[in-house]
Amino acid sequence: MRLNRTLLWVGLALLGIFAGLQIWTGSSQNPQNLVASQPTGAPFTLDSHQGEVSLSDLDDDQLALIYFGYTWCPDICPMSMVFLAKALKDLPEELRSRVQPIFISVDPQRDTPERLQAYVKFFEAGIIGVTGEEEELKELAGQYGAYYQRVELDSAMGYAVDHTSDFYLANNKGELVATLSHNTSGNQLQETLIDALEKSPE
Amino acid sequence: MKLLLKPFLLVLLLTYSLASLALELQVQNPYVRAVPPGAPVTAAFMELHNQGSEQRTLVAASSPVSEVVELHTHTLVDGVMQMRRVESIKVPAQGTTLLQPGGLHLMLINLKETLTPGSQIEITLSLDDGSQIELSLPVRKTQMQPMSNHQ
Repeated sequence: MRLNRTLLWVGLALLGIFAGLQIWTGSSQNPQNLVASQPTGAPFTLDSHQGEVSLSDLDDDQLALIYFGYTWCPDICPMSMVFLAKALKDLPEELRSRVQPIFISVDPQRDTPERLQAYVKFFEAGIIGVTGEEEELKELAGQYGAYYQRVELDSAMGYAVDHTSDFYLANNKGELVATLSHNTSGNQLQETLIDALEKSPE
Repeated sequence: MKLLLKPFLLVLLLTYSLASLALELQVQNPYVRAVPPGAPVTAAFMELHNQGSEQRTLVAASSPVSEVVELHTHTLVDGVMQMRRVESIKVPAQGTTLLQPGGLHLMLINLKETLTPGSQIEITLSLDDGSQIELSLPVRKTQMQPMSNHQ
């Protein structure tokens, strides 16, 4: 199948608009109004265990599947990563190589790039673990429509990070193509991925 | 011999009564989630079934594999997942309380070893009536719900 670039972009844009509309009409539970009212995505360069990783490193026909989380999250984050790994595994092979999953830790105080690497490797999905400066992460999360908040706990954990648990699909320009909420089914995640990647009618 | 019998019976009786109290609370399908090597925390899940006529409350837990075990819950508030520590977990008389992903769970903090899938770990539950339940839990990888195939 040959890709027609222009049509691909049109398709992606349409999908983006559609997904955007769905999200803002369907479940507009905008957490405490701290996220951008119309998340558009943003390019980023963050730190991985192998140095800087930038969205612009992706090829034009690749998409990043982004998740904001932290490794001290014992339940929601691993579930989301297993969910992501399964959806990617079930993608047709020629599409699989066009998705780069990225786990952005919003807990840079505890998650060093090395710890992140050990964490993401466990899910065997080729996930890249990245993190950065607090300020930078806060801004980036907002640009994608993610929200998180550090909360001190009366617990041996010290603090937890309350966070949204959505997936974001973005291209190498940092443009948000689709948002998939935490309660998306595996099928929906897969369908959205396939749609976004295959929107290239001859 | 006769002199010894009385205290012996007493101890036996006491053991039985404590055991029967604890038996009123039955634990089913317990498991602990496998986490990446070096991960400091993990969560344990189970079903608590109270066969008794009184409410039972889980007040504490401990395990040799972590420094601390706490009782935690998750709540979804405006799309944001919030994890919080709770003081206790109640199991109503003749009722069931589920410790399951996305909700109530035991939080194992500062793991002393890597929990490999397939192995078993020990957890002790402490109840409000002073009884304890010893559990052996399998370590499991996160389970996925089956999904239909897309060709």
